[in-house]
Amino acid sequence: MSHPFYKRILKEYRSLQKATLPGIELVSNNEELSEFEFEMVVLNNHQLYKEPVKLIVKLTDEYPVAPPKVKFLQEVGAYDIPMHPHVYSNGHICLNLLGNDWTPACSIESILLSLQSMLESNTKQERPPDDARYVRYAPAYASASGFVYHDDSV
Amino acid sequence: MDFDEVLMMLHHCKWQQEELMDRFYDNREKLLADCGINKSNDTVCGFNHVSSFSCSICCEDYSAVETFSLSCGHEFCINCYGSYVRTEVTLGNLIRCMIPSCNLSIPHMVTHGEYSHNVLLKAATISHISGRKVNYKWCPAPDCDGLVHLLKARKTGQSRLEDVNEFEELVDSESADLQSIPIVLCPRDHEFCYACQYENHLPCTCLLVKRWIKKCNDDSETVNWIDANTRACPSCTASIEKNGGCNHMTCSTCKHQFCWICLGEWSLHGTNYFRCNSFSSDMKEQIGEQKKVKRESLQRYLHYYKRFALHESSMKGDIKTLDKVHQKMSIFMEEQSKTNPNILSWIDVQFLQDAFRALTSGRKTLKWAYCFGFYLQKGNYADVFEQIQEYLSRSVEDLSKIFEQIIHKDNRGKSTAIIMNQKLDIMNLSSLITKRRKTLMECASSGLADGLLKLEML
Repeated sequence: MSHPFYKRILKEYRSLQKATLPGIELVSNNEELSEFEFEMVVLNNHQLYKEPVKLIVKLTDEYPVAPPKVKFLQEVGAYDIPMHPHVYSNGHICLNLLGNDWTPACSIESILLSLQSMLESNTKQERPPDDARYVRYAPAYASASGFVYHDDSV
Repeated sequence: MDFDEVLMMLHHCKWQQEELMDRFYDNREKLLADCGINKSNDTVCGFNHVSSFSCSICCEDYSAVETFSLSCGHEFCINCYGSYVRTEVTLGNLIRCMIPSCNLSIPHMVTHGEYSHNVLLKAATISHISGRKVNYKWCPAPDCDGLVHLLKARKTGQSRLEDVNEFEELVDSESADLQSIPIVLCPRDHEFCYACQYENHLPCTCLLVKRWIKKCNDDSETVNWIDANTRACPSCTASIEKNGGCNHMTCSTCKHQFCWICLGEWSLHGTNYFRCNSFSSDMKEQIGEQKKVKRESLQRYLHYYKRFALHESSMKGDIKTLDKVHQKMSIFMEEQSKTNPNILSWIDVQFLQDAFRALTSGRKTLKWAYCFGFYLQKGNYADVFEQIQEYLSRSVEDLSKIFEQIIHKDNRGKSTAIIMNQKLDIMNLSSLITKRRKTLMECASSGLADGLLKLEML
């Protein structure tokens, strides 16, 4: 059965394929267009992020009413989880746009852009304060774990 | 300002009137912007039927579709807007336009034509209440959706309860200050205790209620009875009650034969069990004494519990009777108003409502007075309390009897006549009940305060 918002997803997919976002590239996706993997280069923050990072975006059946599930991926020898006060060491991201601030008018593209700018504006090479505890009990994807937004200024 | 805008501002200020006033007079423009109210734009907010529309959410191209937009002009198809609103409404906040950079809010009126069934208002109310659990309590009566809002909490005298959380402490407090028990009335006339959310349990304190209910629910009393009245078979440990006959026992379960007095094997006794008697007379007396104490305390509990339970079940009976009386009265009044409207009005039968209320609350007080009595230490003043309780009980029973007569099947067709004939009696009894209830409460409250009555926490 196809997704109720198939046309919308298809449109987003076509635009993502064109790779119009600088530094962001669609690496792979599944046939149902529910899982996308991206490689992202942080353009303006070379001190902290020299290597590109990898992201996975999962669309649920409720997309775009509900936000997609997004996390950073680790691949030994290729990609690392970027150091950031809102990024847990298992790749989970604490970002308002992936939770309460999401509206159906946002898109995969807007998430990628906001993640890129989140990394670009970062100056702290550290993990969230509750990283060790969170990672131990975290579910597979972050949205179910009920984030407390630590510090909106970062 | 129209009604919708005021609603949105109140909603934004979390229904705090003072905060709204402050912010409104402080910086009106900023408040309006924060609330997402647009006064300048000419585009009308609302539903439109449009032909050839492409929705940017679902990316469908419609030849004809209903759309919605706020006065910002961000227009989406009704399906997309609908599913967005349905998700957002659960949060209980104002719902903004779907475009993240656009701050406009959806007016409450849009979510439903009528305010009484407004989903957004409903969700906002629920989230408001659940965020302030100490200030709101749902009525605990079954089938009642009454809500009580605590405006100001007072202790007796001057000291105010600054923090309503103190009610939670009150539930466990040993203090016997009956004046401080917060009995409240829900919009549907159910009285309950704000602290422990149980029905009006005066003259008992919340702690007594808690213990009493635990005691009644526990099997501990059954265990006490078994302990006091039975002995375990020395071979298979089945409980045996000796209901007469000689002391030569044969266990019905395992057929073991033993002596009831020393629990030794019967075969050792031979024909002469008096030897057993002289052998362990000390022991026997000791055990006997223990059992006597247990039996007495059990008897005492059962005395109070029976009466407590009796009034509880009577209350249920009363409520049924009262319903029937009420029905009869309604039918009667309807007929009356058709034939000769000037003779009786509803005000003339108002006394019935008062009597219903007096009866049920009288029963409730009586019920809890038995729980109170159980924990009460014996003494002269306790006797006075029980005497007052006795008086109350008498007038409650009298009133209950009158109502029972009214609906008795022998009196079919005469019920309204009985009501009107007994009007004076009913009125007298209900005011007597109210008075005696009050006296009972005062007796309990002042007795505890002056140390004349003492509670025993068993």
